[in-house]
Amino acid sequence: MKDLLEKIIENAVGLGAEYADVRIQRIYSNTIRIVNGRIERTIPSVELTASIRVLKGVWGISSLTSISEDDLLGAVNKAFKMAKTGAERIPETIKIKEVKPVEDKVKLGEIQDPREVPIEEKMEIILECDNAARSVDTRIIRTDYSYSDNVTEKYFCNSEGSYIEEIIPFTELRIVVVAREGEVIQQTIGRIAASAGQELMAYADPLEVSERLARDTVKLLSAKSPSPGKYPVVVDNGITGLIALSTGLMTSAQFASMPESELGAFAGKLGQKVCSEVITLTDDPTSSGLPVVFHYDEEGVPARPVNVIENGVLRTYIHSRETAYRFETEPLGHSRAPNALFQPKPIVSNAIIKSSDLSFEELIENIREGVYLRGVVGATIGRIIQCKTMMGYRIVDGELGEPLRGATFVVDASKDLFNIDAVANDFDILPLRLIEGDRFYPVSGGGPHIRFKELKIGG
Amino acid sequence: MSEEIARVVKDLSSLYGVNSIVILNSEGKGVYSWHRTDADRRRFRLSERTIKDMLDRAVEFVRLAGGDQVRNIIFRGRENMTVIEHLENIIVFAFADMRANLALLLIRVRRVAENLVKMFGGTSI
Amino acid sequence: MSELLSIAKIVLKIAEEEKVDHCEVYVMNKSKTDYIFGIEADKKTFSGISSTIKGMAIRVVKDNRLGFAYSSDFSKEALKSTVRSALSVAEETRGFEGFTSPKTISDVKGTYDNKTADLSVEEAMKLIDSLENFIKSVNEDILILESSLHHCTINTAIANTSGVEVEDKGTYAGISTTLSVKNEEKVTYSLNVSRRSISNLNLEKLGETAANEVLRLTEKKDIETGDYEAVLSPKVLVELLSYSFATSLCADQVQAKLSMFEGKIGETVASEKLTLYDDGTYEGGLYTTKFDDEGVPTQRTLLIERGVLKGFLYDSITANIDNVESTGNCVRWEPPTWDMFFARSFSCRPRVWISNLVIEPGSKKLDDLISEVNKGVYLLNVFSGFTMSPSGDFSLPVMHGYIVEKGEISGAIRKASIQGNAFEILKKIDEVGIDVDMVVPDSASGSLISPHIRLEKIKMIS
Repeated sequence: MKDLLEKIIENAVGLGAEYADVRIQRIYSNTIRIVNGRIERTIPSVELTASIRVLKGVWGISSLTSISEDDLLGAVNKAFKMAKTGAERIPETIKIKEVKPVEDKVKLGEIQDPREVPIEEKMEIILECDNAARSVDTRIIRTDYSYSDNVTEKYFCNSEGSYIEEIIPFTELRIVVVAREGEVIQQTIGRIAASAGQELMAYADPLEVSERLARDTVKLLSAKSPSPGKYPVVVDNGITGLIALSTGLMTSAQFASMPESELGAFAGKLGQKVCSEVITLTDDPTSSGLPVVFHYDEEGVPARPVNVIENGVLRTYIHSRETAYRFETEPLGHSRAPNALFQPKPIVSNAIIKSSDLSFEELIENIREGVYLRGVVGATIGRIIQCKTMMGYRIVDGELGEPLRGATFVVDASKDLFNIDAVANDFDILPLRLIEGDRFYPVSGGGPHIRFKELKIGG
Repeated sequence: MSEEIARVVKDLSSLYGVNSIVILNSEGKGVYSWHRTDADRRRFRLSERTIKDMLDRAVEFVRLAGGDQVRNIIFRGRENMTVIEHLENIIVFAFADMRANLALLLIRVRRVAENLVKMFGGTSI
Repeated sequence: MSELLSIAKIVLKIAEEEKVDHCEVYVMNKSKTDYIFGIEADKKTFSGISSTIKGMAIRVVKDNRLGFAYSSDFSKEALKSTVRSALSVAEETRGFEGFTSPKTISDVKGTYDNKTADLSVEEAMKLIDSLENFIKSVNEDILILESSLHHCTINTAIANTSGVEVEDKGTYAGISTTLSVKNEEKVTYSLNVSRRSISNLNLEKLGETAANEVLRLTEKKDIETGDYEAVLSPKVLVELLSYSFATSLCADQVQAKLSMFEGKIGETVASEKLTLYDDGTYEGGLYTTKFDDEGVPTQRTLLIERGVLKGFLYDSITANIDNVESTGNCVRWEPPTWDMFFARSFSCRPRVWISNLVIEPGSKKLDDLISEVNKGVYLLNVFSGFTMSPSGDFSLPVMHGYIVEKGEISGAIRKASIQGNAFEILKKIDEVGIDVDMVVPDSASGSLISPHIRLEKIKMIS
């Protein structure tokens, strides 16, 4: 592969490119969907994607699903021509921040490679989980399991002498449980995901998760709805994760360059307070066990964790090489794309809010009348985060009271993020998927339980 | 009876990578054992007493740590893994190589334990 | 024989070597080029992106069990492993009685244009220049935040062990632009238009319309919550019809008893002003193809005639269950697959879905529809309807719309949503216009070819 890619790059340079890179990705994947114990679909696939970027004043890009030398050379010509013609109409040319060339091969870690596990075994595990969930109670009317695993082989080569191979696993299970009693319908969602192999299905104990979700769903049937109003509110790790992710996305230099866009709220806010001082937010694509893990980003830059917000102050944006040049800073390996057909963009991987040393009990001990919210059913993110939570509890005189049905809440990033007055000492994550074009790719948010001095919740 | 047990255990012994299975009652008395090959049988030098001791120690260990009951114990080495599952009056021991699907191994060990409990009810075996 | 068809036949051979009972191979090649001029950090930007995506999907049958798998890796090894993968996931499938046998396929019109297929970089740039000039000529204060041109060629081929060997090709061209106005930067208007050829894009008209629209949008007014008469653009209508409603027209949903139209054939389900077809043969339609995604010829299918439900859409599997003929609506699409031209992909498992929904035009021009409104709204754009519940309930923020008072537009709607039920809306149609437009939904496959329509009332939430 190395010889082929180097040849393609040489060709681009020969045409007159200031910079060129080529990415090849082969994704082996399996998806399984099981609804009410019935196999809805199982789809095995191999996706081969490639793209070539040529910088000649502006970017010319050519992507394809072939790695034959002829096709790749044809793609180089197209990309170069587009850049050259486009540049004639653009007064200001694009520059990218310099980085040191790297040669490296990152192999699959010690995982159980999902490509070597027969699909029947994967189906049996999910069917067993599905059965366990439905066996909990006759009021469970629907269970919906979406499983997917993939292994991505990535090859990267650029005109500065970098050549990188990296192989990345990912496994995910999403569980929806619906219970009904008379007219009352309640739903819960469980999500398990990590950059891991089939062993995740053992360690994450999906059987136990399924049974717990099923029990929670049934419990919600008889729970009361919370009374709408303003309360001190404590949210669990998943909801913290949602807030972390939404905030993290806004630290992308690309969104911050588009102040009018939904995620452009942090435009021009470097060095300013953007949320409460108890919040320190890190984008970390390097910690094992999280949903997104890579050594090198889509531009071949070594990935490093970055504290984007420290004690409430926006310290830096996350960058591609292009935005790093524009903002006169270092790119730290945060360019991402769903596959090689898509172009690298600075996007968060795992947005993590730092924990403190307060226990959960300490978080609630001084709340006379409040609400504890758990789990995310659905949400929209951006300047305004709207979230439907899975369930809750009343907090009365510093202790958890009766269970409540899921509430909705709205967090206005410009106001409510300043109302967070404490974070706890625990940690968990919410794996989510970002849609770009017609592809999902994993992101996650995480952190401890956090407390809002006051937050408006709806029923 | 051993035939009935064998039928239940088949679910587990048919899993790719599982090499040895031992079924004990809660007193630690062996009621059934299975090995994939004669070589596996010869290699296997673990006594029923030792399996039971291991479980007892784990129970004590977790109790001292402030935990509740032990459902299973998992050991993972470089090339093999071991699972001991305890359910009511049944102990299931399984020894497998790393190529086995651990998630499925856990599920089937538990299923075998449940089916054996169902088969014998609360009676001691 | 085309390259794609010969690939399909190679895969059939591999499958036979793997001892499958029956097999079907679908191969697709999508070559698309995007020229996008934008503004980032106050500077003009350009990106030129060309992509060529080729992929294949197979369905195999062994012992009456059907399996599906896909690959975009065409190495012999990958193709073989795809066949094996499909076999490994084969399941019993109700209604499946073998792959379709060869049928006479008629030509469709207005689906391929050489000039669009061979458009050069220079020509594309000139077209964008002329679009920008038309916009600027309306008013110098208009800011062009984005202007882009896209063109695409799609080739498909299907071969199966029943003897089907078919191929088709199509071209597509589109523009999109986002405009704002100097000193009114919060006001933006986006226009996206997709057609089957460059010559069907009337840049002068599109540029002027977009420019006039963004200027008109600067005069914002508040609207009170309540019921209003409403004129809906085809773009609003497509967001109301492409989700729960389209789903309910598909036979698989009817058979699963999930369709809102189950058991309602012959009943009145809409205003008598509404006559609706699905037409996979419509001249120049975005979803016009010679055959559907399993090789059955496309056709025009009457769905609603003067308000009365007349039929459903079928692929061959659902047709077998109901003992009828397929309507040629086997479609390889599933959410979130989306494309501005043709949202279908080899990576999606075949199912029943719409092609082009066509509403029969009435007789009134848009101006007349508006001038007869006493207290109402004229809605241009709403958010995507994909959040709609299966029963059709929606609450969609209005992106662009106007308040109409005594037959005149009196201002742009500042901030409001429309609320209601997609199925109920159809009963409230009191007039269908004459000027037909072709639009696609924001997050589903299929197109709508429709004039503006008017509703007795719609609920607006401030």
